Amino acid sequence: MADAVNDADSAGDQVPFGSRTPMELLGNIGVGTWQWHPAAGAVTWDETTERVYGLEAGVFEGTFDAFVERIHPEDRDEALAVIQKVAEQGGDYSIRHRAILPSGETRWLEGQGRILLGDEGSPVAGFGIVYDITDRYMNELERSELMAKELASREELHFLIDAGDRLTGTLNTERVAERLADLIAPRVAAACIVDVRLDDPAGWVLTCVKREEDDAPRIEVGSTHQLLASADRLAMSTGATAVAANPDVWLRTDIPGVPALELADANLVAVPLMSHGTRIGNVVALLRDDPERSTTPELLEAISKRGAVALAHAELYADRSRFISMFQTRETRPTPEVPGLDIAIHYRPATDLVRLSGDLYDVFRLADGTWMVAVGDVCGKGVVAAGHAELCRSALRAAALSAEDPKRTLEVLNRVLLGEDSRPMLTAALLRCEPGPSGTRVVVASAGHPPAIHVGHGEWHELDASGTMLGVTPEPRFDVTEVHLEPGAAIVLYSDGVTEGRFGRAFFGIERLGQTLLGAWSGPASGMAEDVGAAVDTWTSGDPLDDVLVAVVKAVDSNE
Amino acid sequence: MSEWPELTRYLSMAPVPAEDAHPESLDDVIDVLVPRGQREVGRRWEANEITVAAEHAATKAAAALVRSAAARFRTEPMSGLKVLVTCADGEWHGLAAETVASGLASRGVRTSLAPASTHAAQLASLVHDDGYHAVAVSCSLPANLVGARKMVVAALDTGTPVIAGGTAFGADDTRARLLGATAWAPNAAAARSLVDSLRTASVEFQAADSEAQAEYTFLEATRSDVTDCLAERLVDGSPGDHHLVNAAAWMFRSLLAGLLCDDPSILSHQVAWQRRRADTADAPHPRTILATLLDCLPREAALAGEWVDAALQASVGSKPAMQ
Repeated sequence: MADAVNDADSAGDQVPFGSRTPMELLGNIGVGTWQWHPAAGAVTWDETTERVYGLEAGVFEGTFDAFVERIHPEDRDEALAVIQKVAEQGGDYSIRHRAILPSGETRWLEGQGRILLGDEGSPVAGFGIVYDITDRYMNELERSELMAKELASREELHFLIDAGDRLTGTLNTERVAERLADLIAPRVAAACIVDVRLDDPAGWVLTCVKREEDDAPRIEVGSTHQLLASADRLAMSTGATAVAANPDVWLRTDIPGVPALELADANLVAVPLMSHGTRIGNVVALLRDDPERSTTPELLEAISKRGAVALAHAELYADRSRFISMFQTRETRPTPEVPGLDIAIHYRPATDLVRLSGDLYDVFRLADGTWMVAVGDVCGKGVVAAGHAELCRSALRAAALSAEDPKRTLEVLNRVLLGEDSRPMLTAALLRCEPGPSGTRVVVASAGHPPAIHVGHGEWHELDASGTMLGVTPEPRFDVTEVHLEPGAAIVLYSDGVTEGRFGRAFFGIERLGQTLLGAWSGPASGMAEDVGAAVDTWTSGDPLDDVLVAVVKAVDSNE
Repeated sequence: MSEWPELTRYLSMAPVPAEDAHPESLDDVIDVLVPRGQREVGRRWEANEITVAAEHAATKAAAALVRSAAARFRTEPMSGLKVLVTCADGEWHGLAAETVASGLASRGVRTSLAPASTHAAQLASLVHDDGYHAVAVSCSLPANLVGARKMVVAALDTGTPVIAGGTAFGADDTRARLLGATAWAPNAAAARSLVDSLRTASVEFQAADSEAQAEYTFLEATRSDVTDCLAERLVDGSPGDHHLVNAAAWMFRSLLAGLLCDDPSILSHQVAWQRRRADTADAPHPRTILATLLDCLPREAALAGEWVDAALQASVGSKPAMQ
């Protein structure tokens, strides 16, 4: 077929379209025209329109029904609805529909038309154009499908990155399980159960459930007797992603108030949680087809894999943390109430990641009814020093209970430390307190520790008890001193972290310690201890390089 | 009402208006009685009417009162939610934190109080150990907002949302937001209602994008230079020079907190407070401190210099400053 438009252009003719009618020109670029005469019930198609519908010229039957028949059945209702509406109101319309050609081929067509109404408001004429858009439409479709795929995978990537952040942010097993369940439902699955076998010889397990209708996951930790379904699932899981059988076991939750999950129209998929080749738990999820987002087993596996890594780290952390907490018990132990004495301890370990130090303090009752207040500092830092401090504390208690006086206590303790292979070295100060009706008798002993301070009645001074550091020599020397503490007066023990705290190059020193104590001596022991702590903290700009420990023992009127 | 010795004891040290002296709920105690009482105690101390020891005694009595009130007015059953309450790093009086903890516990939240004087660096291990759903950071003094921010960052790093509260944060969420907290609560009741909604919140620390915070970051990094300089000029070994150091340290902290919040009033309030103390008690005048601080600030800290200079000029009266 000759291309009239191009012919005319190339000729550079003054009248490029020659004698062709606009309709013929449109036909040349594949745009067909049609007319509708409602009164006669006739539809007229030009040759191009017939060609668009795959018909030989002159074959079209010329009725509205014949047109309707050629529309793809799935698009018919929508197309007719549009035409119907315009036939009632008059005006223009545009429709896009598929047509089935006599060859059986399906093509995408686009049509635009106008319907004119008569005086009575019924249609009197219609006309319009139609053309084939199959190629363009398929391109658009392909592009939008690609775009949707691209967006979905980008969303999935962001989801996995965020999931990784959330899962590894915490090192607590319960919170990891909860966050995992929270990430899975409703984003990946309609509901899920996360089971985790806890690192515990008694066979404890954790189960966590989240359904799409829940705001937050529900969690339960218990023995295998309490959480039977969880234990069964852990036993039955094969170690590979599987569509689980026996929904009865797989869907039970064991959590009070949470019913078994309903399978409904979803797939039940189980994914093992693996850590270093061992199965530590499983995720059971209800996957439902959702065109809005990807809910594939692959995504469930990807997220579960990250969950398993986080759970393994959390268990490892918990193990270490339980060990360390044995050395932190002194922090949580309250200072005992001693009649006639007001005792307060201020303790601020240096800025390490865990609160561990070689400082020790203890307040305990001796066999003769008197009380021992002890403060010590083990050489070294971190976990090793903390271990030594705990050893020293136990040895000190044993020595104090069997020895007749503080000097003897220090001698026994020295022998114990010398016998240890790891050779811990310790400085310590002891106060043996015997509260009475008019004050407290205090025996002060020191083993290489900063001297105790006496505060009362507007003055302070150091007490001259001195001695050798413990764990160094088999023949130590200890000079004890005895003080009568009147009600209102106090003895203060402290670690060298107090006096050696630095502001620029200047040490906090003993003088400022004494002045600070004097400022608060008439108040409770806690206020004195806190004031020293605050002063040292300010002096060191909130970053003391060494542990700060202050123990204040104040005699109070026992009738108070 | 039955015998309540903790209440009687506290009221003997911190008188409050008669209508507040008969609490009928925990909130009456923690939101009304104790804050009013502590304000009065603070006023008396500032006016040098009572000693620091008496102030300590009142604070101790307040803590005992709060604890007894929590036991007396326990209301809601326990939920599965766990919250860790902590003071700002460097804040010493745990009363505010204890108050929030009691308020949350009485509303059924499993609440723990971080050990007194916990460093921000140690917060993460506490959060991991017990797996808290949220961390509540309490801060009473605006100068300690620097320490509050350290706690906020440490908690968010564990993916745990942070509720900020306490008088230092002011009357709305502006400062809490600038410090990166997930939410702000004016009291324990508000904090309780936030815990549920924050439970699954995605949390990430975001520093505020301001000139003032950039300068804060710079000063924080060069902090030891400033303290070395202050030490050189203020420490002379004379008795009481630690009062000078103390005043300078608080001034510097207030400056840093002001930069964090882009709010010079934190510094000017500190100056005003130190001046009132200097008028009534044997405390150093802020003028000396400000002049020394101005000398010790690095040149690059232009905004900080401007603020300190303005405070210095205000404290010497209306005379023009030396050029």
